[in-house]
Amino acid sequence: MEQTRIDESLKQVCREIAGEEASSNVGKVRSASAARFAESGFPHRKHEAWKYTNLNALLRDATTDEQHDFGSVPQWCYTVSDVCLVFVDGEYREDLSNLPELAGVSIENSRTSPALVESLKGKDAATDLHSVADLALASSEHGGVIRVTADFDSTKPIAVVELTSGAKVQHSLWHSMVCEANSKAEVLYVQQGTSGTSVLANSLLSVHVQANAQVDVTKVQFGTSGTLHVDSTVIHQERDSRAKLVTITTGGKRRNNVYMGLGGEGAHSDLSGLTLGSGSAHIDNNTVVDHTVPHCTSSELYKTVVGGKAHAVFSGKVFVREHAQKTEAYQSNRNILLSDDARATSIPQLEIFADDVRCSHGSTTGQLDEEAIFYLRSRGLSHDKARALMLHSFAAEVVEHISNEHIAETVLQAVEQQLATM
Amino acid sequence: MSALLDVKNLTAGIEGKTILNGLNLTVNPGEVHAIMGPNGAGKSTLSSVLAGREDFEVTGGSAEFDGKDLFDLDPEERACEGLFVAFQYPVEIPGVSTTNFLRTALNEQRKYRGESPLDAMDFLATMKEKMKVVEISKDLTSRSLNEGFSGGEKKRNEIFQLAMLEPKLAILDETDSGLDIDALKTVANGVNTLKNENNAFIVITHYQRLLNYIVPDFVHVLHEGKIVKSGDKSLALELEEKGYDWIKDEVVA
Ligand SMILES: Nc1ncnc2c1ncn2[C@@H]1O[C@H](COP(=O)(O)OP(=O)(O)OP(=O)(O)O)[C@@H](O)[C@H]1O
Ligand SMILES: [Mg+2]
Repeated sequence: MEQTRIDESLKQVCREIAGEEASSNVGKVRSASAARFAESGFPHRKHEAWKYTNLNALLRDATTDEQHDFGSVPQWCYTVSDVCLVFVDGEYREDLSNLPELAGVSIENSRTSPALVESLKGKDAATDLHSVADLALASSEHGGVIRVTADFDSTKPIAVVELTSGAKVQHSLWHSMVCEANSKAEVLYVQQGTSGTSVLANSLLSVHVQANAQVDVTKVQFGTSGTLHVDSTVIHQERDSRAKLVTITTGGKRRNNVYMGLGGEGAHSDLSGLTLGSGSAHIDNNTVVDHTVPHCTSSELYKTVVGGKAHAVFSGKVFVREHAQKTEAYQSNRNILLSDDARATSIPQLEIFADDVRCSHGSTTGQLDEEAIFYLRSRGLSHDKARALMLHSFAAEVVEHISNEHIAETVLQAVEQQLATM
Repeated sequence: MSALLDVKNLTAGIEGKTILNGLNLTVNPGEVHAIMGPNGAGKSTLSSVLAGREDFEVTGGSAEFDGKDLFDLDPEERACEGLFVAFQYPVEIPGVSTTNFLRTALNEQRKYRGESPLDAMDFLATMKEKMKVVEISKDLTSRSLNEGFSGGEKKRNEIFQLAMLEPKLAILDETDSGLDIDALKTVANGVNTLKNENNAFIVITHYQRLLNYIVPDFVHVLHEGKIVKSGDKSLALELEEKGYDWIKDEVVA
């Protein structure tokens, strides 16, 4: 039997959504996004930003996994957080979630809340988002809607956990967050698959950070499975706000899109990522940092260790728009290759249209420095110890970006475990 | 008394090119040896071969260290047996702090000797004590190893490692090059503090100046891969005054 390509059927779904009557603002967003996806489908390989990740090819053999085993929510997610929202195969699971009343924060699972639209404020959905984000906007049935009220000061993170069993061949989730003025919030975002077959888990997190608010998002993407995780994070920042995003990936097939819009003077963005890939891992990080107003700062650090036949991609674009004078933007991408067949593709891009700015970027790719290993051996470390120390230090620099020490500790353990196998 | 280091008729090279060409050297505990010689004579090659750098191939001769065949040991085993080389050009290791690395190194060496690891408190106490000996700042030991260090800071850091690891034999490859007089005194003072009747030092240098502060028992001239002349500390003065040409002539004759 000839199988229809997954994006053909998704285009059909979106065509139907686009045809439905939409009266609410959320409805209108969904319908406009649906119309765009119905037109474009998955990004074509010819699309510069998708050159190395061909969704249709990766999903060629997509089929459901009859095991329906979604594994379990890692216990530490409950212990480190105040609130834990759990989604399995795109559906909210009240039975697995922990949703106590929390003064200053409102959290619900909804596809109609007006806050969904508010979280998109400042972003131009048509140009700032990829079509996979359109797919999530259009077709998601569930998602956490988080509103952090003004002056709220978090003590523990809000956890969002997504598990994928493969019971559905594809699903999308759209989570949204509004951080009101002067608030401080932390999000732990865990994405984990157990599917033995190839399926698509597509998710979107849209965040609006109001004046002088602070948000820290830590994404934890552990493990390898048949699941193709496609994730988009779009954050828009108002004046004097601070946003931090740390993405830790230890394997699997993944594509992460990040869009950071610095839209108010004095805003600061801090982006970092650690990618560890072995076997046939495919991990593609695509980031856009967009300076549209003066006096903002951004710093970006993505690091990769790949072995086996793994392929990691980092493409990072920094825009400094015409009016964004006094911008300071730094980007760095460091890659270590542990085997001859491992690949790291690095595509840094600065597009600067203002003249009074301080920007820099750097990218390095290479093997572990044998000179350095010899130096450490000459002081008494075995070859393996020397290698482990160097890899540990390399990775720890990113883990140190995680503000929450409990999360950082758990992440570091997992990172060390992964490195020990590489 | 058995020698700490006994090198006999050593030949070694790289990519088919002979660099060490029949070198003999014996070092006993409690001794300080200086090795001098023109650029390219093979001084750093000797340090590298003894430390176990794999780029170099040993093609003949032998080297015994504390009764063991050095060439039977991996670089880390040589270190654990008590051999230390302060390198002429220490490598930069991003992300690895001196403190973190030294704790690992020290405990690996203790493990090798069957001793229990130093706990964090004891380690820090030792650090503090040795940091005073070489006048090194906390700022330096917490930074990435050698990364962005000045030439002098790198050398000082090598001596700090030496102080921490307390080897039986330390080879200082031009640790004095590029140091101002104060830094030189600090390095020399470090060595003199660490020196005792059970350990030994080989200092490789181009400058007699260092030997005013670290007084050698023997001075050797290395030329074209072998030691062509040995003497006491007056030989260093003579070399400073007359250069190496007269020795080259002597060798040819
Ligand atoms: N990695 C290498 N590859 C090829 N040749 C080398 C290498 N290392 C050293 N040599 C050569 O071996 C010879 C001896 O070099 P070595 O560094 O041991 O000299 P040195 O006595 O330490 O000199 P200097 O006083 O300049 O430090 C030189 O001719 C040098 O070019
Ligand atoms: Mg040399």
